[in-house]
Amino acid sequence: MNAREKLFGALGRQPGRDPDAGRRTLGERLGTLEYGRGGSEVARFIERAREAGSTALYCASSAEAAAHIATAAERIATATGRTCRCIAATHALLKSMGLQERLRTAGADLGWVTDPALASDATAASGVETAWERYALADIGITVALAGLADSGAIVISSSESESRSVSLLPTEHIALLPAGRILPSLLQAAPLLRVLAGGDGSSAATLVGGPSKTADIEKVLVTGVHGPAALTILVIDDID
Amino acid sequence: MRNTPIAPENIRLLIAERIHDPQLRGNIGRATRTSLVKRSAVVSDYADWEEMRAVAHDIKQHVLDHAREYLESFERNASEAGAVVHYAADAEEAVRLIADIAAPHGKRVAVKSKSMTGEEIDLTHALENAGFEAIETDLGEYIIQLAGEPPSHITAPALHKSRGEIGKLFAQKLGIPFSDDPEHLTKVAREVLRRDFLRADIGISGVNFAIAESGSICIVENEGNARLSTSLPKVHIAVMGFEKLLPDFESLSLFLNMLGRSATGQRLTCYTSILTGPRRRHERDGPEQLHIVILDNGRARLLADAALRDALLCIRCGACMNVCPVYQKIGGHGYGSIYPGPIGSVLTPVYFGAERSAGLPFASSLCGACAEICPVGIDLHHLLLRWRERISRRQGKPVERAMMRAFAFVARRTWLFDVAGRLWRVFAPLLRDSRGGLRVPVWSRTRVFPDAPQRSFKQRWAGLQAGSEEE
Repeated sequence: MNAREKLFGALGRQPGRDPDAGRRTLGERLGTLEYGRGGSEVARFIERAREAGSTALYCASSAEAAAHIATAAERIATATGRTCRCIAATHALLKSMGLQERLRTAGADLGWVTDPALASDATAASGVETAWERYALADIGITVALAGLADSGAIVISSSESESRSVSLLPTEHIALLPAGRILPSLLQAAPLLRVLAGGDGSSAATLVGGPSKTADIEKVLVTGVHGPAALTILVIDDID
Repeated sequence: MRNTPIAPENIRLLIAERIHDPQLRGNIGRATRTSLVKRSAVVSDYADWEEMRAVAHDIKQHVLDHAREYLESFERNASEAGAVVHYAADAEEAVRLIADIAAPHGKRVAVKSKSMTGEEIDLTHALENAGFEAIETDLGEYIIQLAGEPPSHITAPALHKSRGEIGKLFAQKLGIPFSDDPEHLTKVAREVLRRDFLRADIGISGVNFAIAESGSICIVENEGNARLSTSLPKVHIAVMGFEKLLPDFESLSLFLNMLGRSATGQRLTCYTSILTGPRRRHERDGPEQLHIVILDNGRARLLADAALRDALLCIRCGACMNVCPVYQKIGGHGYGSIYPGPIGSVLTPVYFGAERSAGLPFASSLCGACAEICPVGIDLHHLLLRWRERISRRQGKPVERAMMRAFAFVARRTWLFDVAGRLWRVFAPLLRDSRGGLRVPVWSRTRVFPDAPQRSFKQRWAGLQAGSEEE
């Protein structure tokens, strides 16, 4: 008898007891809990996001958002004395914002996740960086969030053909655009989205991002920017879906 | 340390060592107090936290009641998503399995993110013995790996080390100039480990929750090392016990809202990864293979043990040890186990054998603070009591047993109890000591035995009834 048979044998089966009934009752009780019944106002989301250590800004338009990104790029260029390197998810919203031109004016470089040079199997010719190096040396990774959670100020992102896992993980800062209409009260309302993302047409990696990477492993002193981005900026945009 | 039998005598030694270490007591005291304050602040988000605990408790019980159905469902859905599900009866089998998965084509470098289940099977050492380079990437775990020590807390493994000690460690092992600035030390670790993430062949992680309806595994963290470990290497191996199962994403939403708050006072951790199968064809990155190893190691037997099975409800938040007055004084190493604190004192005898850890359930005042704070409502102090009953039955000293039998004999006979009481009140003053109590063998070494009263309660009650006694 192998380990699987042994385990299943030991777990047995409850005769005549259908888990679905119990699960339904529990689901109803879940639905009455307070955490699933808050508001989804932009102001609440922004406040909670800031409490979690993120920078959260309201933008009346995508143009305003583009301006913020350009400002961030300028800040980095000034601080480092070199061109700011950005990588963005190949998302229609980002393409239509005129991001490339804005950043060029601000003296920054912009690559797209779908660029051949960023394909994970792109081999490194001499003098040319590997895809991993480009991601790791990038200053800003730019993505579009699928949802925001008002009660925690967290965003939902997922990997796809236009957004790699790396773009929100390896660069030093992460800037995420969040259409205001996608803010949900809590994770309970996000459950259907997570279910779809886990499905056949979905994603191998859906991620809830609650703030910049951090640790308090040394004497409980808070340090940001451990393995992931040291800063998370969420730009809540109002004029788009 | 893992192999030290934790008999009652040994636990006293371990405790004595730590009680007399003011630096350690300071570190642990500060850290646990901070955690509790932060937890309170965010638990107060909800007026119905107690109701949340009840629902969470019932969801976990429901899953355990239908463990087989949910495990079948999880296995089916995970496989459909392209993951390979393996089963290991015990630690040796798990390690062999993982080495076999990792070994083909010379895969020899593994990056590991924090996993208590991994610690339980001593995975890192076992892989190293099998010729792997197994690198811990969680900052706290990385620190104790460099130091060659076991973790001292479920969520903060290096809690027992000061910044100066860590600075010295880094200077010694990494050859850098000494610094005790936490920010600087963290940046150093970031740079060193980034290179490891890239060159690793395998990423190994634990699992916080496994979602049956989709075959997804959910991993929570703050640093980003779990995301990196499970995204960059070509092979991802996740290790879990079946008790991590949840039915659906709605349940997950409740547990995620409770775990961060209970563990570190966060509404949500920085990153929550929900991974369903290896990378999809159209995705840009991610592992090509996802292997999920489901470990038994005594869990099925624990499930069948009605008195102790509630220990399987644990979501590994660490709140019980933060609030435990014993843990606050001695820290995790004082328990001699990778599962310390109240839940550790219940689980260690289960996973590592009661003969070897008999002292742990006794290292508690049974104050019940752990049961009150547990987000899934495990009646921890009662579980400790049940272990005490078992251990005493199996391993109790004959003298103690005889004394208990004698006491029971007297206590069951009122007239005899009264006589004994009278004799006690006559002779007790002879034993009075300078602390206001009585000198009693063994007991008085660490406790104050209460002095005998002038008159017994029954005498005073009779006096009250007769009007001759003051209330």
